Amino acid sequence: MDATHWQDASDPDLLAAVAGSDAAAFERLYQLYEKRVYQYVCTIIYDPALAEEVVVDAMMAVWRGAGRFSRSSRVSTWIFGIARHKALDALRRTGRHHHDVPLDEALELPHAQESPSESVNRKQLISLTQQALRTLSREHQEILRLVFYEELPYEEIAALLSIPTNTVKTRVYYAKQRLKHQLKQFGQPERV
Amino acid sequence: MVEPDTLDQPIHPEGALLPWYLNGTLREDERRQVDQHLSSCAACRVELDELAQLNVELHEVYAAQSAPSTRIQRAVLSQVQLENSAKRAKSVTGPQWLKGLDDWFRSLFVPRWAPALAVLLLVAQFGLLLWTMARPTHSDQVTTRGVGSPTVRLRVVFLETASERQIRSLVQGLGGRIVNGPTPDGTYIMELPAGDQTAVQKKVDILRSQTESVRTVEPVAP
Repeated sequence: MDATHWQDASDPDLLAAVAGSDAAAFERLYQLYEKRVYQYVCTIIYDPALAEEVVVDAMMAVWRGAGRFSRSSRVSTWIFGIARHKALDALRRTGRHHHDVPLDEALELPHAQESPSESVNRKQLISLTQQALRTLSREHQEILRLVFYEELPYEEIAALLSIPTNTVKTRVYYAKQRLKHQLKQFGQPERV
Repeated sequence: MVEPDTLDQPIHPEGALLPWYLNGTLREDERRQVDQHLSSCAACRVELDELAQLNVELHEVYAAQSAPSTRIQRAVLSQVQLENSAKRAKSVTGPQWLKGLDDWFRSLFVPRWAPALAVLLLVAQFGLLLWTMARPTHSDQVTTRGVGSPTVRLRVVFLETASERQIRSLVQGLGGRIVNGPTPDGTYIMELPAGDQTAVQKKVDILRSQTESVRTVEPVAP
């Protein structure tokens, strides 16, 4: 049996099969999560090589610990929780700090006078948003990803980040405000 | 970073739920509450529009982000295959306790010192065998004066007053033994090593001299 057998399986079904040492189910789960986990880890660690190591560690932990999934949250929340834990461990181990915007990235930001304003096309808009995102703190980047891309409920985000639910709500609000401010600084028309 | 638990400007409680209204993870009662609020709050409707726009842009940004190298997929999946094979091999050998018992028995037979101990035991057994063969045995001692050796038999009558101890001491002292008796009249047949005639006669004389315990001593005709 290969991963295609599990093509349409739900996350909980996949994880249950993984708990029974089904390597094909794990391969499917891996395909679904590899990129998401990597990108999420990159919001915590600004080092692609170290982030890849963390993804390996996290996914092996998923393989070995699938039987411990309690179904009290979504599978994605559980996996991101493992990845977050591994990422913070890696930061402690390597003595690095949380994601700071590297200088070369900051230099790539468009100058305020070079306002793309209405002439900006879709691609440029996405590029601007991406660059504006990079100027946000790790916490703001992380929570925006969890809400808008991973579409997690606020209670699960609170559990994942070990913060109160009210803090989750205010953090999303301030992250959005900060992103809006940065986009305005970069000259994007007021859309957000 | 420390986020405040409250917002620094008046935001409706329903407005704080808008990101999750948008991602569809609110409970049914919360969703109804937000729906109701939106129908009467223009500011929150504007906020919702902004969030919806942001949602689209962020999706595009995240989708465009890079993936990890294919190297890590190979690393993870081959490690999983390896661990799975090891797990299967382990389960084929039976329950863990059985394997533990098996290991324990094997350890009894295959310690590092076992061959040395086996050699030592063999040498000890061989030595014991040699010693047993070389050592004079009880049967050897009997043979020197027992059946098969030339002997002389005497008919000896002890006094009624002679004790068993006196009789035994006298017989052993001469290197002889009682082979028959006593008869109703108190006669014993005593056997002595034949040796030379003089020695036999000497022993007969010694017996006859024990007048406090021996009444008569006569050779038995062969």
